[in-house]
Amino acid sequence: MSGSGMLVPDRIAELRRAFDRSFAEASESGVTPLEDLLEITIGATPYALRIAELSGLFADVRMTPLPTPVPELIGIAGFRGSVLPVYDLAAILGFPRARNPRWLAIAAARPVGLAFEQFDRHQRILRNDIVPQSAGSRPLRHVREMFPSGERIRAIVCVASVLEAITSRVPPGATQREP
Amino acid sequence: MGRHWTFGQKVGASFALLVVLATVMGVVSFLALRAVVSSKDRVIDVDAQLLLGAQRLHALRESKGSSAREFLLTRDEQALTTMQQARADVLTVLGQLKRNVSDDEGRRLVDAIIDAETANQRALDDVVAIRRTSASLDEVVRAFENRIDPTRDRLDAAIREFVSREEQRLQGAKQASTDTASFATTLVAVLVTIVLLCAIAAGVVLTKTLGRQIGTAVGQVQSSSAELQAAATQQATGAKEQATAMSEIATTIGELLATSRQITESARRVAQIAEETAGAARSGDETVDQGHESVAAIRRQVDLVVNHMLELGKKSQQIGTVLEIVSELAEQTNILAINATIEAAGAGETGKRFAVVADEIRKLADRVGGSTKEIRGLIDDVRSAVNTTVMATETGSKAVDAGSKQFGHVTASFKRIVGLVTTTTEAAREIELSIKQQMSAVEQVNVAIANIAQASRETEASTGQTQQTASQLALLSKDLLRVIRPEASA
Repeated sequence: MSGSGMLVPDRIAELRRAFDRSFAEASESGVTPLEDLLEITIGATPYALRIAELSGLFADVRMTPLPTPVPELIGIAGFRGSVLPVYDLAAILGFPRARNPRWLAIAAARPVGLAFEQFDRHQRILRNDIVPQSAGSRPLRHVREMFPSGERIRAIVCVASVLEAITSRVPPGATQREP
Repeated sequence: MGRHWTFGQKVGASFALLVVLATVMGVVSFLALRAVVSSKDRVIDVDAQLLLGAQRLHALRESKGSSAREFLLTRDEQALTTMQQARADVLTVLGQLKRNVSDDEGRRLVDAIIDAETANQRALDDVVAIRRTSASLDEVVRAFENRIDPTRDRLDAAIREFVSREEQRLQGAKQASTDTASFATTLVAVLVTIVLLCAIAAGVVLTKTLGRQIGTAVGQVQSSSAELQAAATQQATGAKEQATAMSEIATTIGELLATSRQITESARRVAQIAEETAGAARSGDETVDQGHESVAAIRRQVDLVVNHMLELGKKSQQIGTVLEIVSELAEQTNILAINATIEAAGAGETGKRFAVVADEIRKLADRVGGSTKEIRGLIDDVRSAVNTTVMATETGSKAVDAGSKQFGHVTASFKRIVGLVTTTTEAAREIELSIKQQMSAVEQVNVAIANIAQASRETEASTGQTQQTASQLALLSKDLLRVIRPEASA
């Protein structure tokens, strides 16, 4: 949005110009490598998920709880004809378990759902803006890179690391029986 | 019973007793005197007369004898006549004596005298006859001595015996009369003594009784006079204080009259102002009615505004609902765009163009989401403003209601004010009238107070007289007590 202080006709004209400009301008992907991220918030900490590591994002997916010794496992959810295990991303990242994880991101590498409470926005940044997690700061679980988002530094959750952690909590035999 | 007799009864009873005793004494004295007089009369009338008759008889015998001797000596007839006259007197006296003699002894002695005299007279007659004859003197003398002297002696003896008897009887009568008189004297003296003793006893009893009573009464009179004097003194003091108080009351009443005149003037002014206030209140009542109508119109407009605001709130809510749908659509569009981006990323080089479209769709969805947020914010502002306006209008409505009620109260208050002012006017007029009547009454009271003050002064003067009278009464009681009880007064 250009700003709420503008008049409505001006805003409409600006929207139209921006829409037309998006078709008129050349694509930036060939010039500067970009990275698509989903900005989320776990607890009070800003995080981000790489779209490249996801196969989908859904909201308000019905999840069925399961009795399980794994505390991070919320349950299962039916999705596009298959049943997926859904894990609480906050619990995996070391936060208290979310009370109402409305959003569900599905990992691209394996059919595992990661549920979280707050989805902020889709963000496309320059890949050069991504920096490794600094050694001086307190290390976050399953985080290897970070990038500036506004006035804050947002941690990029490594979905592969999360999946490895899930795999390490689940017996191998059980993993093999998954579709 | 005597203890309860009155002073007059006691004095009357004493006098009655003395009168009875005096009467008895008088009757007894009268009877005694009459007995004495009767005895003396009998002595004088009977015994003395008999004695005198006897002595006269003796004298007549002497006269008759002398006349006879004169005749015998002189032969004078005159003497003979005298003798005969004397004899007639003798017979008369003898007749009287015989009639007066009351007993047989007296009559016997008188008969003896008559016999002796008759004999003497017969002898005299004989001698006279002899004398008349030529007989000598000697013969006559002898005849005289022989015949007359014995009869004369016998006659004298009879007369002496009678005289002696009469003298004895006279002496006895005198003694009896003296005894009667002495008895009467003694009786009278006894009665006088008794009367005197009774009078002294009555006097002593009366003196003691009446002295005691009068002393008690005098003591009471003294006490009463002292009390009267004290009361008169107190009354005089009270009269002075009353006169002073009356003077102060008169002054206060004068001030009260002046105050009453001021109150009358104030009441008249109050009535005038109350009438003006009543007129202003009636005018204000009309103004308040107009204001009440205006407030009612405002209330109706406020109700319309409230209804419109509530309708606006409902519409805003509906807009919000629609906006929720739009927001949901935008979110779903965004999700679709993201998923399209994901799919495009997974499609490799062929999906890049699709990724561009998806990115534009996502941007539009973001803009729509932003716009919906902005609209939601605006709607929230509108709803908040509507709520605020509704609350304000409700508050205004309540205020209008309160104002309407207040106007009603003000109208009622104005009507009450009009009624109260009317009542106040009537009350002020009644106060004015009452104050005038009160002034008249106070003036009458003032006159009465003046009369009372005059009466107080007169009372003070009369109290002085009462004090003087009480003092005189005290002195008089002391004098009376001194007269009754000298020892007590000492």
